[in-house]
Amino acid sequence: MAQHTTVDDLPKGGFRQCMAWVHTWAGLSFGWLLFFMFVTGTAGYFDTEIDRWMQPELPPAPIGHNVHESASVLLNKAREEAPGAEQWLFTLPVDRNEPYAQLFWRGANTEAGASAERGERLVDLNTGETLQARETGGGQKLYQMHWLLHYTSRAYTDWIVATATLFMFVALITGVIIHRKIFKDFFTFRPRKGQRSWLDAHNVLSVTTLPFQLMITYSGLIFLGFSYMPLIVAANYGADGAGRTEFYGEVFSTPGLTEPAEKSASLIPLTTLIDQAESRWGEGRIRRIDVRHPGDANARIVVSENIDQTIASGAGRLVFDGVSGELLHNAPSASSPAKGVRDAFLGLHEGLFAPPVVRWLYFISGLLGTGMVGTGLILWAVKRRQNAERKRGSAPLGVVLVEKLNVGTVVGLPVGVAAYFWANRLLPVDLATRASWEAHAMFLTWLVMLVHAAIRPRQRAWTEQLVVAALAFSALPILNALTTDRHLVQSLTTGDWVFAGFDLTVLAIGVPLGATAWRMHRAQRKRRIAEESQPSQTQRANLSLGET
Amino acid sequence: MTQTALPLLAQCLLTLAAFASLCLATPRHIQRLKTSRPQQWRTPLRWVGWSVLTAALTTAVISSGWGLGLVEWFGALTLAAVTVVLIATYRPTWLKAVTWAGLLLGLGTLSAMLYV
Repeated sequence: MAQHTTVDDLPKGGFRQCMAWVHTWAGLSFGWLLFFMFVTGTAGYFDTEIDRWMQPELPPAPIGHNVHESASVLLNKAREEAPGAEQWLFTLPVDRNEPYAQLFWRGANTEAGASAERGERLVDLNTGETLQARETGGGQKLYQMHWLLHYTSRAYTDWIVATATLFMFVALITGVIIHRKIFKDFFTFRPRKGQRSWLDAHNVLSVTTLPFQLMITYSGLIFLGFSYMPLIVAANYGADGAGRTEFYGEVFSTPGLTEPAEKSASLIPLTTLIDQAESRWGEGRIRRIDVRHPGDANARIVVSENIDQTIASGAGRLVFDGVSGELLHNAPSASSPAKGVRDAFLGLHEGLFAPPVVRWLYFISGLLGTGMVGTGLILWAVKRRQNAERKRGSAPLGVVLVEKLNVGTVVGLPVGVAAYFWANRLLPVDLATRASWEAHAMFLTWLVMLVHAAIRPRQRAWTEQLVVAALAFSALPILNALTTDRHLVQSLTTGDWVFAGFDLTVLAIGVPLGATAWRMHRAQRKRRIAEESQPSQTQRANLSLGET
Repeated sequence: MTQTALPLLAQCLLTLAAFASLCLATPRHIQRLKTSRPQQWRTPLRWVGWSVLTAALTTAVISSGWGLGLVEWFGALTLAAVTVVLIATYRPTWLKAVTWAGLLLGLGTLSAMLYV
């Protein structure tokens, strides 16, 4: 019985129509969230560059600084800031992924003079002083919204993001099925034809980025695999928390770490360990030095390899006895073939290995993917409005709602991201909750844009928001010039490519937004004039946004 | 950086030429060839397109290995395809020139790689 109803409910026209239905609704229901994930994820390919733009006080990054020197400066800093700690983690400025030398510690003894029980410091390698810069969420917070969202607890976020990813995957597969002529229409884009143009744009963006989309979505699912398929772990390790902990320990922990012996012994100098590691991996390829229980007889030192020579995430590690300096374990990240496959997919997703030009290709693919989601959302609304107007009715409430959410998200969210950068420069430097307010500025701005979209007429809302977005992005270099001394001319003449790159990129985003706003405005004015002279053509002319 | 920049430049140019050639081979654009029987050029153009794509993949894998090479090739494919769609839409008369320029500059970059 139930089966009968299901079959009857299927859209008429067979498998392809059915898949079209799935594609439409899988895409629409999570479309705005996916748009958010695409915007923040794409920005994330330049996370450390954005970090640096958002802390303009920092000196030039000492990338490639002598490893021995960096390690000894960090070690002295750790002894001074965090005596008696359980762990000192030194991050060396080896490439754009880690532009500054950093010390992280936990479990330090405040009675022995530690500045805090746990903390982190960026360290100036020339003076050994802590680098001071404004508090900011930086590119990291923006990137983390890609999977942590914001204002939500992790318990829900994982499930929301996992579901969105699954819907994305379904939309991709069904999209390939319903696209009849992938090869024949590969190069087809017909502008100024309303719904047709939006469909063409959606197709072109999806088909040209398909390898990227499949990779990014499938690897996204792998990221969330343990949330998705908890039973596989539970079947082998037990369903309780202890079982899960055991599983994670077995798969991800560094081997050979032990409890402290509570007997003091002096830490071996790092120099010999660094030399051993470099003879294995090559010079300048140590990314981290992790010291456990320094000063204890059971001290361990884990040296990690940089990940620039493989697409896989996860680094090779050498575990040394921290007192005798004996090499205890040589632990590659891929401890098993399964872990190797996981590392490869995660590595492809994050693109941490990517040298500058490849990083740009990642960024461009991300932008095109953002466009794919955006055009898909717009297409849904344009198609339904066109149908409604052909029947000479007004658009149903659902269509109006989608239209308003589209303006407020497709243009409004990028404005919010620009506001995040504006807040970084405009909030008082000594504001205690600065980093949180940057994020609040982003979401409040997005909210304002959604409200604006709700109360303004449809066409006006698009043009007005595009103008705001264009100004918000194009004026960022000016704001930067007014609030710091690292303006565009300065960074171009001194070869400061991080700052120049940021300023030029926001210009490259802002200017086309402005051009689109201008063309849309002109088309609307032309249409109004046409309507006034020939009222009968009103309905035909008023079809869609796509005509502009 | 130059280690990856040159091969990647070659791939962008070659994939651009390849897609421009494939695009010229479509019924929509084949008429742009100023020859007496443009239709007979469709198959050769397709052959050029597919073989240049394969050549780009081969050089990518040789110069950067399977992992990074495939990433570079797919990235170049995406960029080139979008560029060709834009050219075909707004500057269709450029397609022939883009094919030639991409081919020559791409091969030039490849040979430059041998000397660097």
